[in-house]
Amino acid sequence: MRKRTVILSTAIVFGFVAVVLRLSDLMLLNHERLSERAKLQHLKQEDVQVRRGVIFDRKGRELAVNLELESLYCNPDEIATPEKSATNLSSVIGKEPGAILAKFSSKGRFVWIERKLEPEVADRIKGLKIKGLGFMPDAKRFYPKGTLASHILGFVGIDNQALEGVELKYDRHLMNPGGKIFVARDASGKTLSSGLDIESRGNNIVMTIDEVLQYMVEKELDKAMLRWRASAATAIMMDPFTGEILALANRPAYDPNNPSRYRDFERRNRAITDLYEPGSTFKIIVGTSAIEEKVVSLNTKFDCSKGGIEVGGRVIHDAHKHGVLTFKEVIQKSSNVGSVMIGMKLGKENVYRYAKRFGFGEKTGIDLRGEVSGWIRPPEKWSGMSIGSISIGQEVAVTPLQVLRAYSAIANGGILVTPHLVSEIRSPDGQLLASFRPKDGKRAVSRKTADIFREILKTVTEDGGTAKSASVDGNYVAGKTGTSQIIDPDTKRYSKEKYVSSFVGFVPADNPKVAIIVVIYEPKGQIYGGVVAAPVFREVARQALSYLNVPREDSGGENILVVDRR
Amino acid sequence: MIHTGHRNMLSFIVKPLFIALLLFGIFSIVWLRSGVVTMEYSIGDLEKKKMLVLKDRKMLMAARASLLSIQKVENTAMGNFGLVFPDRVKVIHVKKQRGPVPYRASASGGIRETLDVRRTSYVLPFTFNGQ
Repeated sequence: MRKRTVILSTAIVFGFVAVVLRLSDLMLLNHERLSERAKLQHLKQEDVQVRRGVIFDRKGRELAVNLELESLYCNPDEIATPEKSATNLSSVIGKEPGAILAKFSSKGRFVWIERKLEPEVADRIKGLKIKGLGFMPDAKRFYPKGTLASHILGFVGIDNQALEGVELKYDRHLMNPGGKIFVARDASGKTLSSGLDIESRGNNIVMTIDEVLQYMVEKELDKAMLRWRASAATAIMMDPFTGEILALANRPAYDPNNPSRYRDFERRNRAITDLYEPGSTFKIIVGTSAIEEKVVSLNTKFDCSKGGIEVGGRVIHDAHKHGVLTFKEVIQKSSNVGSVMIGMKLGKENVYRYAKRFGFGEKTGIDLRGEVSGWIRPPEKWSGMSIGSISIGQEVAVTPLQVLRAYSAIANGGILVTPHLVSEIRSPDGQLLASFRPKDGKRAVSRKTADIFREILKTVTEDGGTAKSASVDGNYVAGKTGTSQIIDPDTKRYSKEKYVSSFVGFVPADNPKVAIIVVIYEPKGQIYGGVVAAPVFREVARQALSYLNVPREDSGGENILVVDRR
Repeated sequence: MIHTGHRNMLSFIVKPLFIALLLFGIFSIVWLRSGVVTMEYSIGDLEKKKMLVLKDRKMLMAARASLLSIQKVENTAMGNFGLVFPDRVKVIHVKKQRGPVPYRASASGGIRETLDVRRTSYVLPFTFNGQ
């Protein structure tokens, strides 16, 4: 009995010792290695899903959002019947069975089959129950307004990487870094709550553009393209006091939802990347500098009766003979001869200095990538004919935005503003993170000069001016036409068939709400800015004033409501 | 003897009580732990549901934004309902004034009606001279 007791006790003690030793092995000696192994078994690593921020217009309308789709992948090792699966799959996703089969034959355990499937397509594939296929959540950038504002918004690539426009410029705000998180799971693979957000949302962008104004501009550009069978067109609408771009459109355009279907020239933002000779719209330089430098008075007369003037061996003509014109009429009627005379009075140093003061030859600083600075040669590199050419807007290259900015300076009393497209950056939950504060702009000309020149520009759209067709019923318009020839790349000379027609102005002239430029490239049938571009300006301005609730100036108080408290 | 009896009595009560408390404690810990795990499962499920709902929300937001594009609104308004843009002559502008009391407004040019302008904005869609 006693012997048995001893044996049993010894066995129990040894048993306990064995357990203690094993526990020591598990918990002390191999603790780290085993706990790592355990962690790997019950923790699952998941990618944090990165989502771009939403882009809104100035009134909170969504211009760029995210769609939650799924992408299809396969593990080639697990595909049991590749041929049959490829045939079935091709009927759903519309890809060649051969292409799918090639993916099924790939090496590795993860191969993309199709990215960003529509939900219905994904459901149909799930219905096929093909072993070895899997789905991963994938966001697709979606531009709900289609082609609208496409050149401003830009677009993204297949992995939502920014490629153009505001998407690219503000990429670091729109995209927050992702990373990885660990979630606990049980033996069956079911995950437990991590308490962490598995989505990293980027900040939202509020733009200065207004969807309605943008639509108005684009609609009128489309009409002009059709009417004049033009090769391209650009229009920009800006608040002349703040530099806020209210609308910016180019034609041809593209759909940012499918950018790869379009060619480069359709995706180019001509408003900031394309240079052209501004023609008569550049007469703002000789006009304002002549006033500022007191070289002329409004009634200084210029004899333009010959219809032409020789400068450096080149004869510059007027489109029509004018006779003797006052300084004011030179601008109103856009006389080349008169402008050259003013330019010669000013001298090349002054013309160059004022061109620079209005920001020509420099980037405007708009918050978009790819802006070009344009060019104007320094006076020491001018030829004998340059003073004549530059006075009428030749031998200089500008962007539409630079011209609009210069005229905005006249509209706002002489200050050169910085055009911009983004007004605010907000966190995903709506908190204001940053807002655009306009810097104090440089003064281009004195307020007095700006006021005088504004009055002259008003006459351009009145009887006797070159742009009567830009006048808006009920409000005064100040502006200037431009017609310039394009240099033929074959002959290296000015083409006699290819022109750029433009109109730039602001309205209401005395209290401007919007400044607008319209540039039509290679119109057919007509060439003059007053005929081709000015009517586009009028239509856009008329609708914009109505939309912005700007009262007519000719009502004489008839349509003003008297409002008082009860 | 009496002392021993008391001690036995105490030990008779305390020991089982201690064991019961120990068992209860262990059971409570296990029960709580199990409750926490169950709760984690529930939260995990709810999170999945939340993600699905958020996904639907994003899709609906995109659909709404697409449907509300100005081009579609204009096509519907002008094509289906025959609406037109107002003639600027027929639009009345009321200056923006904020205040708690409604404003009394009347047109100075021929209109006889009196309006209560309860909003702070201002385009009133009626015309002058009975047009």
